[in-house]
Amino acid sequence: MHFENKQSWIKKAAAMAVAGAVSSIAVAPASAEGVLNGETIRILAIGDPVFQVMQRIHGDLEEMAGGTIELDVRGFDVLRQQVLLNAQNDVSNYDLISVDLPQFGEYKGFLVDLAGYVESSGMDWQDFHEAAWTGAYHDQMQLGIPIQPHPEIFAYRVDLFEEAGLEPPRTTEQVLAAAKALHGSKDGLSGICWNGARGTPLGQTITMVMGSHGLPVIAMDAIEGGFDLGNVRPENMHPQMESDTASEMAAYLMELMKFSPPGILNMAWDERVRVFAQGGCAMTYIWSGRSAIYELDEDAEARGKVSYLPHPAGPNGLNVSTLGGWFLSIPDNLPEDRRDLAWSVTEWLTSPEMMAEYTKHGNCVAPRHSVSVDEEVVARCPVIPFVDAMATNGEIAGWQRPPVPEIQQIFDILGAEFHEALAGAESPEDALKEAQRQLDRTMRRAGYY
Amino acid sequence: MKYFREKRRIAFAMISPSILVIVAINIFPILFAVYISLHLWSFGRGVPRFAGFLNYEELYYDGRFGDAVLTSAKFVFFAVLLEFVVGFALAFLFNVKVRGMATLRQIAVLPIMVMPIVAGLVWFYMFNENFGVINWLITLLGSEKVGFLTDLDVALFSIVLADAWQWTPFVMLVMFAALQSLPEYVYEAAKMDGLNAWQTFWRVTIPMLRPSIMIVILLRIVDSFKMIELVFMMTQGGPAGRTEVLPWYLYVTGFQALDLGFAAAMAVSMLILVTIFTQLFLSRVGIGNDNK
Amino acid sequence: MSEVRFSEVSKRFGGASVFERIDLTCPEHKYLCLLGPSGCGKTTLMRLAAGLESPDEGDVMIGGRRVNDLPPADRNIGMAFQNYALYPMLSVRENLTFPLRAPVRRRAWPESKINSRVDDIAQLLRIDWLLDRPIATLSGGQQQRVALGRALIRNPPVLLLDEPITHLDARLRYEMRAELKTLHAKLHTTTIHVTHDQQEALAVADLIAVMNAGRIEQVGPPVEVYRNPNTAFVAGFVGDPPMSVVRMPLRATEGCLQIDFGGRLLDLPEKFSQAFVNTVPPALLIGIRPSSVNLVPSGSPAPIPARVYSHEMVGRELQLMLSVGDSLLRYRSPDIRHFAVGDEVACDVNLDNARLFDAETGVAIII
Repeated sequence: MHFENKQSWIKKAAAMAVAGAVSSIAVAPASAEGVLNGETIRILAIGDPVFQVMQRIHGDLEEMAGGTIELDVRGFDVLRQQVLLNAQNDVSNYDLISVDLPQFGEYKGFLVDLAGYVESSGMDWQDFHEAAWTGAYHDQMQLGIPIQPHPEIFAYRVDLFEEAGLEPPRTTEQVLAAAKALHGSKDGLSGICWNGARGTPLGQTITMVMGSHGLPVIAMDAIEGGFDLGNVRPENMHPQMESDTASEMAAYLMELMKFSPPGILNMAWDERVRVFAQGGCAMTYIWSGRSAIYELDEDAEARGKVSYLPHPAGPNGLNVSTLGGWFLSIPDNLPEDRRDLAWSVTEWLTSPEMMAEYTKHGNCVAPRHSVSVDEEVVARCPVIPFVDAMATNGEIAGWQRPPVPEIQQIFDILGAEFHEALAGAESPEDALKEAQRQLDRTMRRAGYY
Repeated sequence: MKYFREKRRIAFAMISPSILVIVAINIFPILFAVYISLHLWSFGRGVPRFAGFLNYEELYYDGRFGDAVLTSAKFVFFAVLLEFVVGFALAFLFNVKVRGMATLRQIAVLPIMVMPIVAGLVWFYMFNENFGVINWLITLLGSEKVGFLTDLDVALFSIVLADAWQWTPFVMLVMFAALQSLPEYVYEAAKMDGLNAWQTFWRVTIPMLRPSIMIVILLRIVDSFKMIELVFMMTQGGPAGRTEVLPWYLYVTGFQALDLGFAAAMAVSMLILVTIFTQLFLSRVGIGNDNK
Repeated sequence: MSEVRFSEVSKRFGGASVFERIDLTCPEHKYLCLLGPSGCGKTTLMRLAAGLESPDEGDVMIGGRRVNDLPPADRNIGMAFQNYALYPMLSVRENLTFPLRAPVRRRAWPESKINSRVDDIAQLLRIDWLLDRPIATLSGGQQQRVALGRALIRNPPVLLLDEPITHLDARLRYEMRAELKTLHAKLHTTTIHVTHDQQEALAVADLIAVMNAGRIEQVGPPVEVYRNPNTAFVAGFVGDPPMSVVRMPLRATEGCLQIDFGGRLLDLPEKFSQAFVNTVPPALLIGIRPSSVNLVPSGSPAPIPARVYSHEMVGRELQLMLSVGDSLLRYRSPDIRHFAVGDEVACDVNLDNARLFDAETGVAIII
C-alpha cells in the first residue's frame, strides 16, 4: 500500500514498460558447422530493427551459425541498466552487448579493445562508413563494430516538391519556406514531421538540430570538419544553451511548430514516420533505417516518392547528419577463452552478406560501402545509397550527441525544458536559460568543474 | 515467571520468520533508499560518495520536483474524484435487480484486468491526433481535432480519463459489495422516520457506507499517486510538464538519468508525503475511530 | 383514540396468500400479543399496521381512521424491529434523536425539547449511561433497549414490537418481559407485540391472538387462552408444557362413552357425554394437561400401560413423554428419579380437565 516497495516497483514497471517488451529466445542447437561450431553465444540486444530481424529469422540464423544464439532483447532504459549491472559482475553474463553510439563515453571503461582482432582477422574496416567506424573509436581503442549505425537524415516527398516547384531543402531557411508552401496545400497535409514529444525524443531533436546549426550542446573541441568526440575532457562539459547557435536552433524549432501536424507535441520516433508514410506531412526528420516503414509497405502513400538529404544546415551551420545506432561490443569481464568466439560472431553478424540479409527483413541500414552498391539491397531500400553518399561526402558525424555519461540527462533536461517553449508555456529564451542552468548544475554535481 | 519467559521465547521464535520477511521486504528497501539518498551516486560510475543532505537540498530548490508534486496532487484529486463519483453511481445502478445485470457487471469490471501499460498504449492510440479513433470521430462530426495529449489544458485530464476508465470499475465493485451488505431493516426504520429517498440516501446510506467509502478513496489515492504507466505510454510528462507526475519524474531521474541519490531522495520524500497524508486522512476522516 | 383494527384484511405475496380476510382488534391502551409459529403471518399482519406493507384487501384502522394509504411516518406509531435496525453509524443519543430530527417532524420537535425527551427515555430504559456510545459497542440487551427507546421517543400512541426480546438470552428475556409490562403500565401505549414464544405472550399480554397458518385461532386474555384453548392448535401451542393433544377412538358402550387408551377403556366424564347425545363421532382430539397424567404402581387396579418415550429435566421437575397406544402423552414428575427410554410404566389419566376437539376441524367442543 505504501511506498516501501517504491524502488522495486518502479523497476518492475520499467521492466514491463519499455516498449517492445522483453523476449528471450533459446532454441535447440543446430548442426555443428558454421561460426559457432555447436557452441552457444549470448547477446544482450536492443529492441531495434536489426535485432528484431534476428529474432524473426532466429531459426535460420542458428542454422547458419551451427550453434545456439541466445538473444536477450531489451528496451532502451532496461538495456542500459543491464549493461551497467553486468559490468559490475565478476564474469559477464553476455558474450556480446549492443551499444548505442553516444553510450561509448559511458561504457568505455569496461569494453574490450577490438583493434587487435580487427587486424588479426583481416576485417576490411575501410568498407565501413568512416563516421560509423570512428564512432566507436575512443581513447585510441576500437570499442565496437557497427551493426546498425544509421544517421538521422531528412526525407522529403519529391512529388510534392516538384508539383510546387520547390528546391530540395538543404538549409533551414529552405525547409521553412517549403513547409510554409506545402502546409495545408492538400487536405490533411502538414509541412514537416519531427520528434516534438517531451523528454528524450525532443532532447535528441535539439542536440541534432543544434549540431546542424553549427555547435554541439557542450563545449567540445572543434577539429577539422567538426568536433572531437573521441576526446572529451572535463572542461568540454560546459553546456552551450545560451549561445547564439542555441537561439537560432530555438527560433527554427518554434517556426517549425507552425507547419507541424497536430499532435506534434507528442510525436516521436515511429509516429512521425507513420504520419509521413500515409502522406500526413511533406517532409520529416528520420532515422534512415526507419524508411523501411514505408519503403517496404505497399499501401504507404509515400512509398517510392521520397528523396533524402542530410540535416538541413542552419544559418551558420553545416549539412551534417547525426550518426546514431548500434554497435556490437565485447564486455571486458568476459573470460579470455570466450572472446575469440565472441569476435567470430561479431565478424559474422557484421559481414556484408549478413547486412544484405537484414535488409530483406525490414532493416534499411547498411553501414558498409560494399553493401550499399548491391543492386538488390538498393531496390529494397532506396535510402541506402543516399546514406552511403552522405557518408562519403562527410555529411555524417557523431559529435552532435556527445558520448558522455550525462548524455541521457542532457536529453532529458533539454527535452523537458524546451517542451515548455514549444507548448507555449514559456518563452524560448527562458526555456534555454533554464535548460542551461539545469545542465550546468548537472555537470557540477558530476564534478566536472 | 519462568514459565512465561519460556513461553515468550517460544512465541518470539515462532514469529521471527515473519519479522524477518517484513524486515527484508519492507524495512530494508526503505533504509536502503534513505542510505542512497544521502549519497551522490550515478549508477555504473564508481562507488557512492557521501553527500549528507545535498540531495534533499537540491530537491528543495528543484522547481521540477515542486511542479511534479503539484501535478501529482492535481492528478490524484481529479482521478479519484471522477472514479469515485462515477463508480459510486454505477454501483447503485448495478444494484438494481434486473435480468442480465450480473453479466453487465462482470463486463464492467474487465478494465481492471488489463495491464496498466496496455491500457496506456490503448489510450495513447485512442487519443492520438493522427491515428486516434476519438479525433477521427470528432472530425467526422465536423469539429476541430482536440490535442488530447498535447494541449496544455487538456492532457492531464486525458490521463485522468484513462485512469478512470481502468479504475472506476474497482470503485464500483467495492461500493457494490458494500451496498449489498447494508442491513435492510435499517431502511425500514428510515421509512418509519419518514425519510424520502433523497434523505435516506444522505442520512442513512452514505453514513453507513462511510467506512467503505473512506477505504476505497484511500486505496485509490495511494494507488493513483503511484501511477506511472499511463504517463509513460501516453505523454512522457508532456506537454510542457503538465502531466509530469512524481513517479514519472522519479523514473526519469532514477532510471533514465541514473542519478540514484537524487531519485532516492525523491522516493524518500514521496514516502514521507504519502505516509503523512494517509495518517492525516485516517485520523481526521477517521476510519475505525467510529466503530470501536 | 388509538385502537388498532384489522378489518377483513388479506395479504398475498405474488401468488402465495399469507392470510385472507382477517379481523382483529387491539383496543386502545391494551397490550396485544400476536402469537404463532414462524411463518404464520403474524409479522406480516403487524407490518400492515406499520405501513411497511399494504393490504391487498380490507382496511387497517388506527384510532378509527383508515390508514391504508398513509405512509408509515404519518401513522403516529413507534416500532421496534426484530434485529433492532439501529443506525449503526450513530451513537445511542443520535439514534434516539434521529426520529425527532427527521425532516417530516422538524416542527413537532423544537431543539429545546429534544434533549430533555432523550434524557427522559434514556432514564426510563436505564440506558442514560450509554448515551454517547457508538451502537456497535453495545450488547444485544442494550441495543434492544435503545431500539425500544427509539420506538418510544416520540411518545406514540401505538407501539409495534416485532419479536423484541427473542434474541436476548434467557435471563435478559425474563427481565425484559417484566420491564415491558412495567412500561406499559406506566405509558398505556396501545401495543402490538409479535412473538413465537408463548411464555412471553402469556407473561406480558393483556390479549393474546394466536395465529396459525394465516388464520387467527383464538383471541383472548392469557388466562382464557391458556385455560380454554379454542382449538386443538392453541391447546398444543400454549402452555409450558402445553396440553398433549391426542387422537383417540371413541366407543359407546351401555349409554356411556369410553375412550380407548391403548386397550384400556376410560369413561368420558358425564359432562362431556351430553355433547354427544345424538351422534357419536368415530374419533376425538383430546387435550390432556400434563398435570392430569399420573404414574401409578404397576400393581394398581386398571393401569394404562405406557412406555417412556423420552425424558428431560426442566427446571426442578422431570418431564416425560409417555407412549400410550399410538399417542404420546406429556407427564410432569414432581419427584426426580431415574427413567430410561423404553421403561415400562403404568399410568392413570384424569379426564375431568380434558378438552375435547372435533377431530376434523380442530374446534373445541364446548360444554
